[in-house]
Order: sequence, then C-alpha cells, then structure tokens
Amino acid sequence: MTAYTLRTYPIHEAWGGTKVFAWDKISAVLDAITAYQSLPNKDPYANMNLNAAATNQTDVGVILTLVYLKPEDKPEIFSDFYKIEALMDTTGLKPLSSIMGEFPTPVVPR
Amino acid sequence: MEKLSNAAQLILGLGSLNSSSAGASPSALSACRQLGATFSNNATFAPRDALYTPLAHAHWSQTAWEQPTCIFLPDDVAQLQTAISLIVGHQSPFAIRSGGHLEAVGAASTDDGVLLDLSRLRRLEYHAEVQEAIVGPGLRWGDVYGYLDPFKVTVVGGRVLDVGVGGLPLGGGLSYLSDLHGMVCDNIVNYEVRNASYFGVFLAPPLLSSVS
Repeated sequence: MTAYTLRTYPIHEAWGGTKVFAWDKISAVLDAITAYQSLPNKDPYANMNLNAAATNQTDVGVILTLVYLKPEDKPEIFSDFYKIEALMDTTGLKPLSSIMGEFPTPVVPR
Repeated sequence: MEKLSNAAQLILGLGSLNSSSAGASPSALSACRQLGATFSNNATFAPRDALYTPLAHAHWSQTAWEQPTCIFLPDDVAQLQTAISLIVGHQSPFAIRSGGHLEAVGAASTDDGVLLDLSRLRRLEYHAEVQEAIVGPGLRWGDVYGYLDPFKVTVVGGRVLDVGVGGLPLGGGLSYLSDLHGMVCDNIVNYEVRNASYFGVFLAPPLLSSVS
C-alpha cells in the first residue's frame, strides 16, 4: 500500500482530555464504564480510551481519555466520571488533536 | 575528516554488508548487497552502519525488535517498486514497517531478510473540494492531524499520534470518530497499491471484490 485516500470531516474543536485515577478507584471507574457502555442510545459524539497498566517496573495507574466531538463543556454523558476523585484532570475545551497529543508513549524496558 | 566520494562510500557500504549476522540467509545477503549497489541515496543500512541500530530499534516495543540483514528506506514509490522486484528476484525474505507500533514478534521486522522502512514515503495532500486527504504510509497520525488542523478538518484515524498510517487500517482501525463514521478502513475511498511490475494498481472499494 503506497497511499490511502481518506474521507475528511469538519470536526476540529472538541472537549476532553486525560483523567488519571489512583488504583483504588478502579472499581468505580469500571462501574462507570459499564453504565456508559450499557446506554441504549449512546451519543456517538462521545468516546473514550481506558488504559490501566502496571508492569514490573512502573505503575502508572488508571489513565482515562475522554473525548466529545463537539465543543461542549462537561457533557452529560460522562457525569458518572466527574464524581470520581482524580489525581490529574486536563479535560476542557480544546482541539481533538490536542486531546490525542496528551496520550503518553510509554517507555517499557524488558 | 574529508568527505568521501560517493563511490568510496558505496564500496565501504558494500564491505560492511559482507559481514554475517545472526540468521541471515544467502538470499537475504545477496539482496542487501544489490540494494546497496543499486541505490546511492544513503538508503541501505547494514549492521555495521551507525544508523542501523537506531533504525532497528525505532519500534517503541522491544518485543518487536529484531536484527534484519539490512534496512532499506525507499525515497519514493518508484524506488520501492525497484526494491521489491530486486528482493523477490533474490527470493529474500522481507518485512515492512510503517510507524512500527504492533507489539508482536515479526510485526515490523525480521531476523532474516530486508526490513523495508517506509518512513520516507510521506505524501500528504488535502483536497477540500472533494473532502479527501491523500496520505503516504511513512506518516504517523500526528503528522496527518497537524497538517489538517489549520483547515479545521480531521479524518477517521488513529487515537495515538505515534501510530503509523500504513498499518492501522490493515487491522480495521479504531478512532475517536468510529461511533460516528466507522473504522479507519471504512473511511478509505481509494487505495494505491504497488506490486513489483511497472504498472501500479488503483483500487476503489467497489472494485475490490473483482480482484483475485
């Protein structure tokens, strides 16, 4: 494959960011995700990416990326997550590419 | 140190390709020798070259690190086609790497053969009138978004900026736009596919079912 032609969409300004939770919040986070995944008419403009990893040498905790594809502050669909105490919270109104840019590339030595 | 002439650099390069590396079959070695002889644009790297190790270890996951017989970086599609013909002619194994993300052995390298690193294939165009972007496999998604941001548009692409454009759609591809518009592969309106022959093939999705 030497080139792809991709369809473009007029999506740019968004809301979202990164929440980091301590490990003792993992049950609350998973409960909130279960409720979110079970919504009968889930808003397609909402999205998320959960990473919860520990290796022998590092313990980064629970990293949750929230994305809403319209510039709406604190969308209702994520309200269960707003109740969980976070160690770090960068969520706010910003371009989609900035939200994606927050995700760290981990160093994982063997 | 005086700058060596191109011929001298080429001879030194060929010399380093004669060293044996673990698991390098004769066909891989001969393919690598001919790649070094064919292309004078600083594109073929053998284990003794300074850039070999950084290139071999460019993958973020050490699980995917291997020791290819040589690493070849085509400057453009024409060079890639010549290289593929050459590699197939020698019956050498080879691997292909776009961004180098999948953390599995053999995903983006090989211990015996040529590693084709596509990072110099960086075609990047936006055609607003048809709402399409054309992207080359050497790009990462961060490059694509950075280019499209001033136009206030985006594509159904990867969520992690380091991930390569070439590989993600081959596995479907999850995007933050997927609930709205489907997977990354669902949003590709045209593929440019090259094989070893002179003529390339352009495949639009409706035609794919007729390709054997």
